[in-house]
Amino acid sequence: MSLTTLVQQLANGLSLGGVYALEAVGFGLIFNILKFSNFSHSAVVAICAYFGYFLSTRLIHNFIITLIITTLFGGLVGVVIEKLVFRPIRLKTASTTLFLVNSVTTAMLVQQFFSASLGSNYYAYPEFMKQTAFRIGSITLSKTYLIMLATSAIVLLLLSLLLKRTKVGIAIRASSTDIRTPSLMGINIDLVISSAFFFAGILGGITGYLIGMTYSVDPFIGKVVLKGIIAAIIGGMGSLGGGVIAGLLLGVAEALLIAEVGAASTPIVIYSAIILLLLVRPEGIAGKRYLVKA
Amino acid sequence: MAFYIKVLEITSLYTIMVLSVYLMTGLTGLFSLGQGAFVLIGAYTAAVAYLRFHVPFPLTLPIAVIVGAFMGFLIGLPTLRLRRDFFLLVTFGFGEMTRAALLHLSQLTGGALGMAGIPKRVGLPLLLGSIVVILFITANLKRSRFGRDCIAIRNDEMAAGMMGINVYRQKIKVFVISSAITSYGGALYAFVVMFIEPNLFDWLESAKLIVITFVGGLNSLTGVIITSMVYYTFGEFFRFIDVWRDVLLAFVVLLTTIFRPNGIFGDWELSLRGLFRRKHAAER
Amino acid sequence: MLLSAETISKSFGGVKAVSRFSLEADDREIRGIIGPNGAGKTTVFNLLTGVYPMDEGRVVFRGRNTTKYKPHQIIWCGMTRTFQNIRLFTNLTVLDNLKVAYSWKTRYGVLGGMLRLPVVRRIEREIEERARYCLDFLGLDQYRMAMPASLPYGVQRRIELARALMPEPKLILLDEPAAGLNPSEVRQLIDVIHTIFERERLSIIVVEHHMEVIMDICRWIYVLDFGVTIAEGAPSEIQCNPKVLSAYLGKDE
Repeated sequence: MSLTTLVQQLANGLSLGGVYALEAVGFGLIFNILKFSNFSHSAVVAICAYFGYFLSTRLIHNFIITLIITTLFGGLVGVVIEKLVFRPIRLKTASTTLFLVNSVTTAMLVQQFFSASLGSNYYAYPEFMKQTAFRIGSITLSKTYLIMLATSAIVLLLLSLLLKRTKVGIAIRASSTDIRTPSLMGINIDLVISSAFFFAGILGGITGYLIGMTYSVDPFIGKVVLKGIIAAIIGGMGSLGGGVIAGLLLGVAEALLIAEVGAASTPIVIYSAIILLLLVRPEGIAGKRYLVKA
Repeated sequence: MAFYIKVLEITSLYTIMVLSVYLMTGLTGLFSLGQGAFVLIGAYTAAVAYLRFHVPFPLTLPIAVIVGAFMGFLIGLPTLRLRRDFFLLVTFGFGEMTRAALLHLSQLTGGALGMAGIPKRVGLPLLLGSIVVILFITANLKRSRFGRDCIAIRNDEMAAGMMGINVYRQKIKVFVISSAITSYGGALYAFVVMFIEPNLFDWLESAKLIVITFVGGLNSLTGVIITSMVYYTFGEFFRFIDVWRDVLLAFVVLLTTIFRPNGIFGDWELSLRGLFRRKHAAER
Repeated sequence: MLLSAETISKSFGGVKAVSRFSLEADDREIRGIIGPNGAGKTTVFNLLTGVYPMDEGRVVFRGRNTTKYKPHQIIWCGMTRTFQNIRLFTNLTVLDNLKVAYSWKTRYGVLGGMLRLPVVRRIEREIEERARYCLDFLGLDQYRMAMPASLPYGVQRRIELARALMPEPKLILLDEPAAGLNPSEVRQLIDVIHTIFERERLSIIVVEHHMEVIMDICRWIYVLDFGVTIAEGAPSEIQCNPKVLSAYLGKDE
């Protein structure tokens, strides 16, 4: 691989990895508190991708404004999903199995809904800028990719500040150790959970918008979430930072592999590597081993 | 008439898949988003054996089952030690890997174009007969110590181990049996639909199998069969709203998990002895 | 010596939950472990049954070094237990709950199960007989077709006991069997434990808070505090031991 290709793929990989990192965090937030894998996150991503599309093509033609609106909308969707799909179970049986089933079902529902109503057509976001790429020497860098990377970085930074400084953020982190902590702190646990879903939804919203903008929108756009989940698992459940790093690594690895062995073989290599990693170290890179209490 | 037969054939085919998943997911609580891989493995093994290696048709079925069981063993061995959601993800990965591999080996498998020209050697008799046999096996297993151990594992893995159950070994047994049956379904599929391609059973279809099992009732084999037959028949009759069928299914699932977490049919099981028992209870 | 635990220890992170604990139990005797909350009693049970790996020490049960055994292997050697919070299987009937405990002893495999051969039917009848015997023993036969979750707490506790009896163990570990029981139920429990002890010819180790239970049934008691054995001896000795009193009473202040 030539140096140019290498740098180019690195840049692409990093920006895609940035999105995976967002997804990993969105997934990890919910997992840490409720201890289940929230596959419904892909529903949020898909909904926001379409929402962002319709918003930017029909109403407002400004990138930043539509991005912000979509992001907030994503948070809203996250909260609605929590209220409708997960809260009833949490109050009744709190069975992790049912959470899992419902989250997969929600993902299925949204994907099939868009498939049914809008068909498998690809929807393209409007052109936000005249020049989509710029060159440094012999390297062509895509502006959209850079925007993805920059946005992800900013959002992650803001989120970490939020988690460390605000009361809600600290409550969220506290509940990952024990779900009863917030009530001891005098905070409503429902509020904490809704907030977590709100933040996860925000991340989903951004992801949906960015991916939709960079590639195009189709009903299967939620699949990017699975990459994020993989990153979260590799990075280690319980460690949001680990998820970020793993997300970036995954993005870069993917980009480099595609350049080397082609898009067909890349999934095989990646999934084999992940399976191997999980066998050797089931708790991921930075994760902790959970002991079941008797 | 021919249309109704076709519908019944498709329904039976998918019901076999659902039954195969019942052991794994309904009884034992293992969620696999990659069972599609075993459908593909079964279908392609049978098709390749028949078309490329001229293996006589009756032999292709057992070969598919053996290959499926073997792959189940290979995949299960390392992955069944993982916790449930990781297992879900890893099986998803396996599903994707299998699809990618099948696309890649285009010399053998026809790649993205799939394999056509498979003759229709499987009809309703074999399909319905297969369902009866699989039902017989599954119901017996459910009644036996095998079934009790599986349900125990699903309810409380740690306590199950404390009752002397070798949880890991049990999971492997279940996974191998389930995968073998799924592969059998895949092999049948090839000879009913006469055309196979790598995208015919993706993670979504695998998810549907899991979801139908839930709606039917984890403890009710009868419920699962009824739900499966209703769903797939419905889908065939209402082909024009085919995609909306899945949206409807998703809604039904969500309602079921919220209002009837044990499935629509709960613990209800149709059994010959059950009918007698009710008579005795009335007499007492 | 039926069971011999030699200086077993377990730490979680920085906390030493159990520190060099030693215990012996012979055939046909009842011993007890007491101590304030968080003293490490349940952790001892978890170490003995292989749930947690031990940091140091070893356990010899019926002549076998079970230190590194997995839980199911230890069960196979003849040790069963009950849990502090009831862990019955919610989707199985009471009868099936008991049958599960006997599963590993049954002599038919998957193939037999699939085909329901005559030998399988015979073995199933035997398991059913044993299960009904255990239920009857504890006066639970009427509940055998019920689902555990629908039954009163005291009944569920007894079911757990019946389940621990199923595989004809040589040693039963009872983890706070009297927790949540009212005084008359506690007296019933003491009677039941006596009956089990007489009839089944086994040994029992009890972890308990209820002094009434411990003092009545145990021949020898170990007292734990913060994972350390602060005293051991016959009930009469323990009752007057100043260290024990301060460990318990000191906490109240």
